[in-house]
Amino acid sequence: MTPVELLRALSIFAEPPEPEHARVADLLGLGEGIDGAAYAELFVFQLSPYASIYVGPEGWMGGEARERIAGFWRAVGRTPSAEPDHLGVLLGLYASLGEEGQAAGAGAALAAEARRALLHEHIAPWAFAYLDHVEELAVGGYRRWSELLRETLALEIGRVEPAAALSAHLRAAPGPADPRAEGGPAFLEALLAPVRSGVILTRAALGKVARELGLGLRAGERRFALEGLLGQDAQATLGALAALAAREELAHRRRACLLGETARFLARRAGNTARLLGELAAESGTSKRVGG
Amino acid sequence: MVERGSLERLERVVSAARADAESRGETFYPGASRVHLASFPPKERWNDWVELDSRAWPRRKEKRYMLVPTTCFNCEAACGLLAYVDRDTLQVRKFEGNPEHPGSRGRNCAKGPATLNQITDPDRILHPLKRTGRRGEGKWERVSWDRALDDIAVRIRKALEEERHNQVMYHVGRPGEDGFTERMLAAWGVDGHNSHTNVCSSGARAGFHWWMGMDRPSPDHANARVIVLVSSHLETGHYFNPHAQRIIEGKKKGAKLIVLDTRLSNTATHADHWLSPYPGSEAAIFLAVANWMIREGRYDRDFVRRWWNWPDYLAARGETGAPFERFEELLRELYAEYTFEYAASESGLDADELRAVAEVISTAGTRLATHNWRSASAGNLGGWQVARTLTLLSALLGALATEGGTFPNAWNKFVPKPPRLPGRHPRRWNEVQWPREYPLALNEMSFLMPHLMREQDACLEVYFTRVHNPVWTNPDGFSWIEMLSDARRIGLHVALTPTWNETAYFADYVLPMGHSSERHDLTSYEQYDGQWLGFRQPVLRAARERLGREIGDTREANPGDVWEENEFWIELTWRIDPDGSLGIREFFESVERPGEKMTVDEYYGWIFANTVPGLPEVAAREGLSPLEYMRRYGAFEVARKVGRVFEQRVPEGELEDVHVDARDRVYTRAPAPASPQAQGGTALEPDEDGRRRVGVRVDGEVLRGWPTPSGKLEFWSNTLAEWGWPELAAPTYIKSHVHPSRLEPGRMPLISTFRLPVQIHTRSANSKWLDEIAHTNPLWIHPADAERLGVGETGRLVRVTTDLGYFVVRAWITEGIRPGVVACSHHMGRWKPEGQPGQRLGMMTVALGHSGSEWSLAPKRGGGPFRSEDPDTLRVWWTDVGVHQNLTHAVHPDPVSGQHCWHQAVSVVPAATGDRHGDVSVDTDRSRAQFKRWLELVRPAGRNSPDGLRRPWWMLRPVRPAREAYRF
Repeated sequence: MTPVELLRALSIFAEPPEPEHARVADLLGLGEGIDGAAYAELFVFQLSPYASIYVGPEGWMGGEARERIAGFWRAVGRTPSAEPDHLGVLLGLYASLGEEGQAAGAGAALAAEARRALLHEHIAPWAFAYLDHVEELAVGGYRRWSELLRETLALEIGRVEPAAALSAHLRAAPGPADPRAEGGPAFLEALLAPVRSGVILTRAALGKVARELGLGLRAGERRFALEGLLGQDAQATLGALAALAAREELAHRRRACLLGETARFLARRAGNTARLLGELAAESGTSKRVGG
Repeated sequence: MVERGSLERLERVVSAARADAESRGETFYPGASRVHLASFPPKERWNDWVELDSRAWPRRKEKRYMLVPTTCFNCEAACGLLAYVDRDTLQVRKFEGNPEHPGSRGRNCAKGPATLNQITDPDRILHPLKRTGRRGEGKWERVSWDRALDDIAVRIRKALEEERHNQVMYHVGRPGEDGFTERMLAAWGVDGHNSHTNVCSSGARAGFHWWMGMDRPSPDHANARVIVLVSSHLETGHYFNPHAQRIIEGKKKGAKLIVLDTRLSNTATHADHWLSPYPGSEAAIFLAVANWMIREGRYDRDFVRRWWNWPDYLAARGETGAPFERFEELLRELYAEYTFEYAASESGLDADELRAVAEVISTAGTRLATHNWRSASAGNLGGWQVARTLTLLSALLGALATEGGTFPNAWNKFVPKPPRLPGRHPRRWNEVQWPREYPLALNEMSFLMPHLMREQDACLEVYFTRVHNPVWTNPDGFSWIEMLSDARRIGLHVALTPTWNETAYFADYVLPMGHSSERHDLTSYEQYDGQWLGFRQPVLRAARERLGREIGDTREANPGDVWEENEFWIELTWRIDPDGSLGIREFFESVERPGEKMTVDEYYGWIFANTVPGLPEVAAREGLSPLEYMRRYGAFEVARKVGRVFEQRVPEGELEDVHVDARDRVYTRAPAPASPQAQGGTALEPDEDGRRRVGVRVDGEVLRGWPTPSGKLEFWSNTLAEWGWPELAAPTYIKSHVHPSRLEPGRMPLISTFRLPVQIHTRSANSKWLDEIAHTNPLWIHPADAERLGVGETGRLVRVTTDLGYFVVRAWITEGIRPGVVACSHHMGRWKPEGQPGQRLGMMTVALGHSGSEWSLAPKRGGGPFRSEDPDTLRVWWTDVGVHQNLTHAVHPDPVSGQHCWHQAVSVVPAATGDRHGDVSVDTDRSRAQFKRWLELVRPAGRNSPDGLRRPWWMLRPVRPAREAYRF
């Protein structure tokens, strides 16, 4: 049976902590570290908890991906939330559908089907990779939270029927863009859109690249910072990003037994990105500037 | 790695903890979050809520609040507010939404939070004042409440003792409460309830009432497939905030929005189909849609057969007993002339566009939500047919009281029965309010009062204006000034108002009553398919009581000597009848301690404990008394999903010695079951043997039906036919008084019925935040008209001439209005005469000129900065506070509904030399001539009453007099 209350309880931690969070954190045994500063660092600066960022072709909040998710809300007879693709809201919706699925009556089967569709279409294509990154960056309570949530979702994946087809978000998204054919701006746009590159490139990851390469990280949004790194040393930066993409490919492949074609699709995307970045790094000896 | 068993254990732990918290009435999870674009403090922390003090920034200084709910008193929506009471100073620091309120659900428009401006307004009236000079001269002295109460009470007592009951009148603008005052007037035996409704919503009400026996619509916007608005409910209007949020919900779920508005309003900008018709042609459009639906067979045939009173229509044609198919044939014939082409020629719209709209409406099925309020129904002669033809569309689709359809108000409203309800009716008929010339008027003919008082040579001993400003709000304000200044007509004028207004300047007493956070009231309004009860309370009184302090009456907690009406009326009644000899005082005595005064705690405590189903149980679960619960949360949802009441089967227990008449109306000897709700609604005649009407037989079943004479939806109104209007008895189109065929050359319609989104009639001039956003009312004029009339450019002054005189206003040249029509919001143009005290914010100072019947108003000083205890008043940057156009409007009473038909036929020319913005000139002799001209349209009860009554007995009426008073 779907652990609806556990999902609801976990969902609230994707939102800024209020005093009520402490009681729920205690019950879940999350431990210390659920506070405003940790929340802001994790969910505001590094990993915004909106599906559209991770499954939308622009890699931005909103757009077509959010519309598609809002359409799902309408299809299951609900008024879309103001932010229908927020992780907390999606988990809340999943819990509600789970509750309806447990009730007796004709609606139960429909709710179960809706729950399955929500999981495969709008949660699984991004949440597992996302939570792995949260676990990597978080400390204390939020780290424990990401473990619990990932395991709970994994349990659900095991409970529902497998996906009949690849999520529409993934099917609709174009792949990486080659700057040699499509230009630098298109390349950066695709690289920073996880569904196109197969890679979640956090601000922290860029900082780590800068530190390791001894480059300066310019303050600003990721694209601006990335352009700064490429401008300073394109070859080294592209090489470091290629390594990141290769690691991401491996991570996706490890999820294949759980997520099937979804994981394999993302692994292929990450693999293609890694190869492209490797080629560009090799070529960048002759052409210094890549990107912006 | 997390063990599966561990996840299951956590699920059990969290579930148990949640159940435990909620059993204590606490919220387990944090409230709706920023994800939902709202953030509400959890209710268990309302008593000690901590926020950082914004003024201390960048220091992190904590501030502690007590959150006390109350109800907004700006517009009629009665949205929930939470007052943030500073625990250190016991002052209100801000108002936010009350998430526990089922209607507004924690959301407010700008007017809710602006309540703070009203309670801290440096010019508000804080003490009772008595006139010392001539009326209107501006000389006042501060008096005690005792002195004012005694003076008023003596006069009323004398009037009652001398059987001059009709010389006591209470004239209300914004009621903002349900039942208290009507109960009081019934106790006094006075038919003196006068309202503003005939300058407001009577037209729309009449249209709904003739169909359903209930006079307001309650559209279920959130679940609609198609929404049709003849109103501007996404920006203003009755129940604007609760409705707007549900309209948007409906749109988010895919509903199509159709808006009829001659102006490009904010509502029109959100429409899928915006129709900008020539004013007054709306009913022709709806009939064209109906005609097409009927011809195409796109209506719910079975619903029409079961629920329309079509046999009455056939009978009226002499075809009693003819089959339904014959009615359908006649229906097709009746509306055949209303083609899209005809509607296009009347409205100036494109026939294909109208056809497209008809297609959309016909796809709604039972999910067609419609609303008409004010707007076209308040603007035009025959405007009531706009609501009646709009309801025709709902009735064709069977979209009444369905999910996503339109409910009648009474089923989505809960008015609890109060203690010590006077079971009697006034024995007298007040002819000034209910003149025989307008027997079918849905509400009091209040705006004709100066003319009717003169015609009938009537006078009043005591006249209360309460949150009402007829001099400014009504048409023909100078006639009001003439009446109010005449001591022979008005013996004592008592203005009950929280703030200065144009009418209060002509009062004898100005008595300060509280704003929304300073008074008690009960409210319940139809805003979705459910019933809720809202409690307005004086928040500082409630806060002090929470801290354990005893409060004698609300004045102790309110600023200055500001009082509230509940306690005022109780006290006044006791002074009118101190020994109980008039038989009035008993209704204001304590239930528990007869002989002592009833307190507001007892009054509301009794209601909440005895007549609100479910409330005592819910309160008990939190360890609270029902009154404590309402003081803590401010609102309670009595019912949700009320559904199709008319289809409910009448239980066997109510069917005793049943009689079914030839029209399938069912009568019973069984008494009506006890209801927690106060009595109201239409009065249905018993059968000849005295059985009460219990329902109607439909297809062999006894169902509740509708509270109409037939028990069905009245497509055909026998009442209208029998009282002299057979040609209007079925939904039809009446050409407006501003129809092109009735306009003199050079005239064009002026639309004045629209609000400015953040303002609210006469009540909000003292809100600095609202004034900054909206403070003037230019004349909307299309570029083609501006060119034709030589207006030049936006900002130029124009002179607008009406039947009574003229006003001077700035032009706003915009394509947002259709060519050939001008518009000017009735909001703004507030003023105070030179030498009067009063409001400075939002008001100009004027010189009133008067010679014979000639009146003028000349602005002397506009708005602008001024020094006060509020430093913000020095920051007022605007000077233009608008123009008071209503002074130049003649009275236009619709001969059927009684509604004032607001649209004016005007000419517009560039201002003359010497004209100044805001100038007004009027001749009240011309006003009387217009009154007489419109009087020629009536069909008075004296000539048309079929049963010797002044008014059909069954019709709705506030403070319904005894049956014998209905007879001439």
